Amino acid sequence: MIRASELVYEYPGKRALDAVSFTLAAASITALVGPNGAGKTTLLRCLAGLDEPYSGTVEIAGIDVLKHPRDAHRHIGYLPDDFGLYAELSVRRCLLYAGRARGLADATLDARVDEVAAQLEIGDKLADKAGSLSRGQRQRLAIAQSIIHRPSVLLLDEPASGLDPESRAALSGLMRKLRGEGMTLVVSSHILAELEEYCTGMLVLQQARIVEHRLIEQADAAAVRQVRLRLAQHSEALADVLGGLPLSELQIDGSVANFDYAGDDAALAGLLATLVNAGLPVCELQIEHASLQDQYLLAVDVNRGGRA
Amino acid sequence: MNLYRNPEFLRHAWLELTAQRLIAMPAIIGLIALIGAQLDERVGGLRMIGLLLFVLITVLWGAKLAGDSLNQELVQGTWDQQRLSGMGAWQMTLGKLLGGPVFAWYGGLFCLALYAMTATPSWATIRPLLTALSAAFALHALMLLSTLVAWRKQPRAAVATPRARGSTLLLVFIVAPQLMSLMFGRHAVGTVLWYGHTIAMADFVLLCALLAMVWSVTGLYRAMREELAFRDPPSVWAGFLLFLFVFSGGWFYGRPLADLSVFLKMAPFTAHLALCALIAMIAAYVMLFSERKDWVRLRRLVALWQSGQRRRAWELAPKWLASAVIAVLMSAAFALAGLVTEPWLDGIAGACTAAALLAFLIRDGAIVLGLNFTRDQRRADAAAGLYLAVLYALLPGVLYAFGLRLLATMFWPVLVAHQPFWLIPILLQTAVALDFVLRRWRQLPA
Repeated sequence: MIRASELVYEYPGKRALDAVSFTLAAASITALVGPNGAGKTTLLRCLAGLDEPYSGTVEIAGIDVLKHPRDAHRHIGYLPDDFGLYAELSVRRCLLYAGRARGLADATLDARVDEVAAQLEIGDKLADKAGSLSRGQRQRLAIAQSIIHRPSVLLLDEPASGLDPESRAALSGLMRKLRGEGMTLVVSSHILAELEEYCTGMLVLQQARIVEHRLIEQADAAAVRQVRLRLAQHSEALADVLGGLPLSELQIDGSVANFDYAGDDAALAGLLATLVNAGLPVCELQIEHASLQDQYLLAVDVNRGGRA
Repeated sequence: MNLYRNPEFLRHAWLELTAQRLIAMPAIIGLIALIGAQLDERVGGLRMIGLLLFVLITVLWGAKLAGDSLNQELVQGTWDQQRLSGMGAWQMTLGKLLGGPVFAWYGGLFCLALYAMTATPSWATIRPLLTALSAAFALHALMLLSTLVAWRKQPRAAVATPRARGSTLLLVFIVAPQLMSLMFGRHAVGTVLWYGHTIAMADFVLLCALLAMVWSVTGLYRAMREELAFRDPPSVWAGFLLFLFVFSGGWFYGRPLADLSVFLKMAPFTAHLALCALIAMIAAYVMLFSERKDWVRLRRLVALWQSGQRRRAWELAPKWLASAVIAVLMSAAFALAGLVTEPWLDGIAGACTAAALLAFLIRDGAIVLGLNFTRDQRRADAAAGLYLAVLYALLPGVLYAFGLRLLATMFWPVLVAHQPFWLIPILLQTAVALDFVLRRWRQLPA
């Protein structure tokens, strides 16, 4: 759905993107993360066809963005970090304008405005001026404007910045819903804990280069999982039982054992049954997740020449 | 083309045409008309009041509104959304051209109604109306264009606001008196001899206003296309220069040159080529200071050219470069024509003058570019302007004051550079400037 190939972008005196290549599948949500100044906003603007790279290609929905920007724009919704609104227009008129500017037919426009306003939970604000909205409501209106033409790709630059926890939770729900409708999203953000809730992949940009591109869901399914086991009381049999099982990196500290386990969920259920049947008083079996933040920090650290 | 369905026009109408304003405008115009009716002949009658109000409200104030509307868009951060919209370049051009000053046009309708009700229908009364209408479109398009150009020079910088406002005020103050004078003053009477045809001055002013409208709207359309990420070479700009060449030819053919003292001695064809070369040089200077000197883009242009992708390189060519190339061609044509049509010594003098002017253009271009070949370009053009002021005014002024008149003239080639000898110091200056720009180019980060 989104394919970038050998993208190079330069500002006078600074290379903002250096041979950036990746492919993002349809109906995915990719977290675009990286330190400040890594090139995230530049990458989003190049994907949207707003800035032309020095070299390289961008393809969205099979359309070469650089050769046919206007065709590509029909498939793209973009919310910049410093988005603006027509403060003096009512929310309804903002949406009507966005819809008309995106080529929606008059016959369906009113219904679409109501639909997208309801989706973004600003249906009761349609008569209010955009300038009178709260930060969260303004953000939702801006997203509503970006998706009113039902784009197949939505690019969001720091969409959660400045939002209260309730609005952020609503935003997470919206992301999942849009993905469910088949939309491909790229979300640049520094709030990794929230990205983790809905992202299916992570793209780490550092010093203008992609240093990590991984699919979060696939990685979780395929990777060796770290398991933490805790007994209700100390048992001498624990080491013997665990020693006979296909585990690795086993560490036992009193009633707590940590180990790596390569089996799937069914195998994990079997493991638990084995432990219980062996008479061990298991009170906790927990899979330790490497959070998005951990993965990000690891990727950045490795790229800086730190621990591998 | 349906204006009512143009989203951009509608948005402006929603913003500008509030109920209070819709009532206030005709009320104010009505009151002024009442006063005018009492004063009657002392102010030229209601007909003249209607037309004057149209010029003031629609042409001039409308130009300010047009510039402000786009400027606000750029500063507010809504411009990127527009660039991503599905609107075409023409739809956007029309929407902004008629939408930004829609309130001024609303007032203008009442002025025109006043004019129509009080003027006797004839070409003499329709002509100033058409001139004013054309001038309104031309000026509005020019304001929008100047705002876009100022913004493109330093995108995403708030400093574009005062600059764009400055250009708005400048254009209004320059154009307004000229327009009034051409329409109503002593310049509006008499005739013009153009390409051997005697044309009434008022008709000629109308022709100029119509042509200005066509070209300024075309310029705005092309700027919009650039904003909407179309890859356009500077071919329309080159076409505009070509048009200026053809238009200016009207003063050289089919008329005596006695009133054009600068070109008095030359054959019409040679004199016309000289003016064409001057026009191209002035255009190169104007664009050199108006456009962004993005050296990353220049480097890309060079790389594309070297890799044989000439068409793509032409698409990236800045307008100052296209103008400079045309200036070189026209200067060469002038020099050749001078050597053929003029007496031998005059021909050499003309060729030397053209070469000197070109050398100065290259020198100045090298200074401007050299100062822009840096990471922070914000003050580069201002610095270049200062250095050029030193070279053209202060340095020769100092030399002149110390009695070194001969040396002073090296910095003012037009007056003396009619002998090959004088080209040597001028070419030396150009060589130093070129060395400067090449060194700066090589020092740019990889």
